[in-house]
Order: sequence, then structure tokens, then C-alpha cells
Amino acid sequence: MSYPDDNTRRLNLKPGDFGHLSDLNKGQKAMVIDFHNDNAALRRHLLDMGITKGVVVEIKKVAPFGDPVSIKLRGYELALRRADMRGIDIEVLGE
Amino acid sequence: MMKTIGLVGNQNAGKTTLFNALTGMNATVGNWPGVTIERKEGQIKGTADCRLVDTPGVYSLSPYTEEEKVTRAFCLNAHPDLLINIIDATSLERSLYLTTQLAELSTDVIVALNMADILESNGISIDENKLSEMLGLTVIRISAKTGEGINKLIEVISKGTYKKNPHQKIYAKDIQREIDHLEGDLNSELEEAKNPKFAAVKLFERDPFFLALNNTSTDNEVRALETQYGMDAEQIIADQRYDFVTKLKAECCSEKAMPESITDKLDKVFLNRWAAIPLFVAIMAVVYFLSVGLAGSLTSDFIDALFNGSEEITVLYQTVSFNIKGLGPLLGESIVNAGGSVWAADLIQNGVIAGISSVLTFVPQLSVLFLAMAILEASGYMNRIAFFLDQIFKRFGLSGKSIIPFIVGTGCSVPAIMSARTVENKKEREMTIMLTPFIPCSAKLPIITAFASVISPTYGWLISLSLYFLSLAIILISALILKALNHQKGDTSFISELPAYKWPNPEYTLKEVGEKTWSFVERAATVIFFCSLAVWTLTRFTWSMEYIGPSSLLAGAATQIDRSMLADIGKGIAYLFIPAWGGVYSWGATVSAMQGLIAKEQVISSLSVIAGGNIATAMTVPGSLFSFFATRPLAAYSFMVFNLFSAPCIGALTAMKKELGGWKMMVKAIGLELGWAYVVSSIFGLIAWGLAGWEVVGL
Repeated sequence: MSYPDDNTRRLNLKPGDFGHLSDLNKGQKAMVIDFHNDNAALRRHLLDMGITKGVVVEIKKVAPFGDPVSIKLRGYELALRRADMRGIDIEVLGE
Repeated sequence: MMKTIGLVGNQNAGKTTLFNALTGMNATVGNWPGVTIERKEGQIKGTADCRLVDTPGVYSLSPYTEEEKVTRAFCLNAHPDLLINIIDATSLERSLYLTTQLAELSTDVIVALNMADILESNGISIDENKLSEMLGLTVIRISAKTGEGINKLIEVISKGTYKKNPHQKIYAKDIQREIDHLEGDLNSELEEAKNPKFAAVKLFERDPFFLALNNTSTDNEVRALETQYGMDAEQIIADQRYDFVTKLKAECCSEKAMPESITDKLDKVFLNRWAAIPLFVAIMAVVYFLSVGLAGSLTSDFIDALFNGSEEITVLYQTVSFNIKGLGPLLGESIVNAGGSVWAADLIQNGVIAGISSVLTFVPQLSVLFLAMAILEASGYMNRIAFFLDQIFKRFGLSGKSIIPFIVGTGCSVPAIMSARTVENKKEREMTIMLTPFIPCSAKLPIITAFASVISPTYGWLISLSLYFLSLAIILISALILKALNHQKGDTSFISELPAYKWPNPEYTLKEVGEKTWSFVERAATVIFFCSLAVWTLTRFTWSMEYIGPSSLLAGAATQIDRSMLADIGKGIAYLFIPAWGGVYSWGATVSAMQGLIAKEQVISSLSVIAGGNIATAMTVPGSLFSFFATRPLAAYSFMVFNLFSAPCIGALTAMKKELGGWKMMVKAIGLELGWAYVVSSIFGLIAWGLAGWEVVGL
């Protein structure tokens, strides 16, 4: 498994592809593989909000200007900025 | 002995509604010790010794925002006798995650499974007996909104028939063994060790707050576990809590696949790429039209007539004949008839009644405004506003969440400044606090509406709206300046739950509106009363205390108000304001604007005390003291602008000082605000002056 290190958004990820949560488009589903963030408090908060390894997330809504994004996980919706979603490594799931 | 019961839960779990349902109407509001965060307490209905304390909404006992720190401190240090953990049954996993933490405290916990009324329509069914068994805690199904289960909850609390906290072991064996080990080694003399199970987990996580508790060096063992699990300790704990919760959910809860939810359908419209912003603008316009336009034009002239008397009033932009003496003139007359002196009658009629009534006339439009804000907040739309504005606000060094203080600020800056606490980043929070007073608050509304109707009686509400957007522009420009001064980098974040849309509970919404309106009236009765007295004294006497007020109560009786103390003070400062007031040298306008620093409500009542009666008359009848506002409408606009943007009232300044953590930042904020107020109002004033051919009036 290798993840892209740069901050550019990789578009058109297919089921089975690896990438960052920020790469996904509306309607795509993915499983969280790993998760890193330099800001310890923010990382802690995201853990508390349920972003842990193995959790399935779906991109539900995108704000009118493209950011933030609302993701569905654990039965609720969480709004995040794409910048904060970059640290979340995912595997794209099929329908 | 009085029992302290804490109400703890996620944001949007229905905490406030349950608090109201449990306590009825007997809540008292104060502040948490040491912080300005509101603390609500009340006796639980039908009990003699159960005091319920509401806490700020949290997702975890690892606090992320200032408010969340309060809840953690309460749970750990206040030693409550019982915690009621309200959970949103429609998002069970995230809610129960907090429950697993609360269950580690030494306190007993009752789980109140809320939103029972909408479970079915969400296709969810929950076996609460099984949930109770697996959690080891009493679980009661309730609906805070419909009242279902509330009596049962109260009964269980008052009879004490809830399960004792069994401290279930929820972690994998090797992790649990390490945590038990840490617990056994706790330095039990320390305060933090009062909740040993919780402290042990926190030690495992290396929470800096608990490190003092550590007696033994277990770091190597934790490290070994981290390597084994491929995660750090914090991650392991969060992971295992969620594993436990997922297992609970799988056993106790079944979900049917549902067609697209109403929330998703609504969001397709409200968060639509093209429609979101126009809809937001339209909603705000409707709010302002209903409050300032409709409610205002329907009632304010009428209320004014009740206090100050009239022959005809304007209702919905139509002049109607309405002959009434009015409370003030009636009282004044009876004082004179009873042999009282004219100055005493004048004090009551033109000092006290005129001053207070000028504020009270705005009560109807304020309550409509408060109502609209409460609905926007309770329905979940406010979260959406923050969501779609974040991208714009981010560019200005603010968070989308800054919009919430800005919108709350249309009511009052004080709670608005406090609500800035939900903004996570310190710099963003400070900027939000400094900029919130620029929002036209309810006390500025009287100034806006009075002057807007002088500029255009029919389209006054549109002028009010234009000021709202002008203030947004000023906020964004100031934000850019502050951002540059702060050398702010883009390392901030926005994390917010997007809750499902809800119908606000009418009873509690109205109660909230009532409370807010009442606190406005209270201010009018206290601060404004004393300010009116002071202004009256300063306008009716010279420095040598010679009475120079009206010699009789007849309208238009001669006064020598320009010899008064206030006039002398104003005459000195008024030179500075010639550009701002459109080339007019007016001590009356100047001293009134200055009084806005004490309370914004005071501006209009000061103008009316100085004018000796109705402010609208004083501005519209040619030759009156403030008629220049009607002949130079842009001067009226710039007067509004100055009052809108100049430093806020004492109350807001105090809140700012507390929230910004000191004088330095507060002084910076005041400087910024006064500077803007002077510059922007002078721009409009200079145009007005230029249009009038640079003629100076009043010198």
C-alpha cells in the first residue's frame, strides 16, 4: 500500500483504490485505514467524533463553494474541511 | 440533603428540552465559577431534594472547546450524585461513545434514550432492556419533546431505583489488564484520583492532565501494546470504545433501509450550489421585514402614543387618527394639578416616561426578531449557515462558526460574544469576539428604525437591511486587516455536526423568546431609567444648578436647553463630528451618540429627552432641533452608521474583556471599533455635506 504524499487531490478514485478522504466525490463510500494529523487536539477530536480505523464513511453533501464537506459515519453527519480530511487514509468501497 | 444531578449529553441531543421538561419553569441561570459560561440549574419537578444542573454539550470528556472543559470539570470535580446522560437514539453510536466515558466515573449514570417519537419514522427500533443489560446502566426511553417517559425518569431518580454503576470492563483483555494495573498504582491522595477508573484510562492515553497521578513507570508496557496494535494509545482507547458501542448497537438496534430522509431532501435545496446563498439572504430579509417592517410599523407608534400621547399615529404606513393623552402627560398634569412644581412634572413626563418608552416601543419587533432567531437555531438551519459560509469566512481568517455569534449578535452582543466559544481556533475566536459588536444588536435597532423611517417611511426596513449587509462588509474588511496583523496561517479547522432538521418545540421556543424579551425590558427599567435621569438633569440645569427646563408642560414651552451642562459638554466635542453629521454642528446628536457607550438604547431616549418629546417629530418638523436629519438623509444614515459601529455598550465590553482574557485585547477592540465608526460615518457624512454645497449648519 502506498499513499500519495503531496497535497494534490487525486480525482476519479475507483473502488479498491487507496487515497485520502479529501479525494472523494459526493456519493462515494470508503473505509478508514489510518489517520494522522499534526495537531494533537484536532486528532483527538476527530477520534472522539468516531473517525477510527475500519469505520465506513460516505461523502453526503458538499457546501456550495466546494468546502467543507459533510460525511456520513456511524449514523450521523459530520462537516469537515477538505484540509482536515487529507490526513485520513482510506480505501474506496463499491456500492 | 440536596442531591446534585448533572445533565450531560452531545450537542443537539435535546438537552435543553429535557432540562425544561424535568424542571418546569423554575430554572435559575448563573455562570459557572470562574467562567462566563451560562449555568442553568433547577429543581426536578415533584422532588424536594433533586437539583438538576445543565452542562454544555460534549462529545467526549476530552475537551476540545472552552465550553467542553466546563462539562469535564463538572463531571470530575463537582462530585455530582447522579448523571443523566441524554442520548440521541437516532445516532446511537456517537452518543454511546460518551456514555462509555461517563460510565468510568465514580458516579451513577442513567441513560435517557431521547427522540423516541421519531425512531419509528427513521426506521429504527431499539431494545432498551437489552441495552440496559449490556451497558449495566438504567436506560429509560423518553421523548423530551412529547413528554413520553419523563414521569418514569423522574420516578426512578426520586426513588433511587436506578442501577448502581457496575464499571463494566469494555476493553480487550491485554489493554484492560494494563489499565487495571495503572488504577492499582494511582496516587489516591490526589483529587484527580477520585474517579480512579477514568484516571487510569487517561493515564494510559498519556493525557497530560493526569500525568501527576502516575506512581510507576508503565510507559514501556504501553509502548509495547501500541506496537502490537499498530496504533497509539489514544487511538487504541477510542477504537475499543467504538468497538464496544458498535457491538451494543448490533445487538440492541435494528435499522430498516429508509427512502431519502426529509433532511436530505431539504438540504438539496438549502445547501444547493446556486440556491444556498440567495435563500440565506432571502430568509434574513424576511426576518427583518417581519420584525422591523411589519411588527415595527404595526405597533411602535401605537405604544409611543400610549406613553407620550398623540392625535394621530402611523400604522402600517397609514396615518390613523388616534387621540390619547398618554401616560407621561397624564402624570405630568396630575403633578401640576396637585400643586407640584413644573420641574417635577417635567422630570416624570419628559425625563423618565419619555426615556423609558422610547425603548419599550421596540419590544414587539424585538420579540419577533428573537423568535425568528430561536427558530433558525432550533431547526438546525443555523448549522447549515455555518457550513456553507465557512469557505468564505475561512479566507478572512474566520470560521464558518463565526456566523453564529454574528447572528446571535442581532439579539444581543453579550450572549453572542459568549457563543464564540464554539469556534475552536484561538485566533479565529478572538477575531470573532472583536468583530461581533459590529452586528446591529437589538438595542441598536431602535436607532436604526427611527432613523430609517426618517429617511424613507415606506422602505425603512430595506434601509435597515442595507445596514445589516454594510456591517457584514465592515466585519469582513476588519477581519482581513486583523488577519494581516496577526500573521495568521491557514492551520485552522471546522468540525461540526450537521444535525437533522427538527421542528422547534413551540412552548420552549416561546419561553426562550419571553426570557430574552424580558431581560431587554429589565434593562430599560434599570440602566435606561438612571441614564434618563442623568440626561434629564444635565439638560435641565446649568453648571450653577439653575433650572432652565420648560416653564410649563405645554408643548413647545420655551426652554434654554442650549445653556445646559450637557450642551456645554457636547459643544466641545461636536466640532469633531461635523464631517460625520453631514456638515452639521450638533451638540445634541453628539452627546446622544456618546451615551451609546453606556447603553445603545440610551441614544434614542437621549435624543428625545433633548428634543423634549417625540423624536420623530423633532426630526421631521422643519426648524426642530434635529430636522437636519430629514433634510440631509445621508447625515441620518451616517448617524446610524456611527452608532452601529462605535464601541459596544458596557455589558458587551465586560463580556469582551472576560472572553478575550484581559484589557489589552479589549482596548484594541474598542480602538478598532471607534476608528471604523468615525471613518465610515464620515464618508457618508461628507457626501451629505457635499450634496448640501458644503454649507455648515449650526455654527
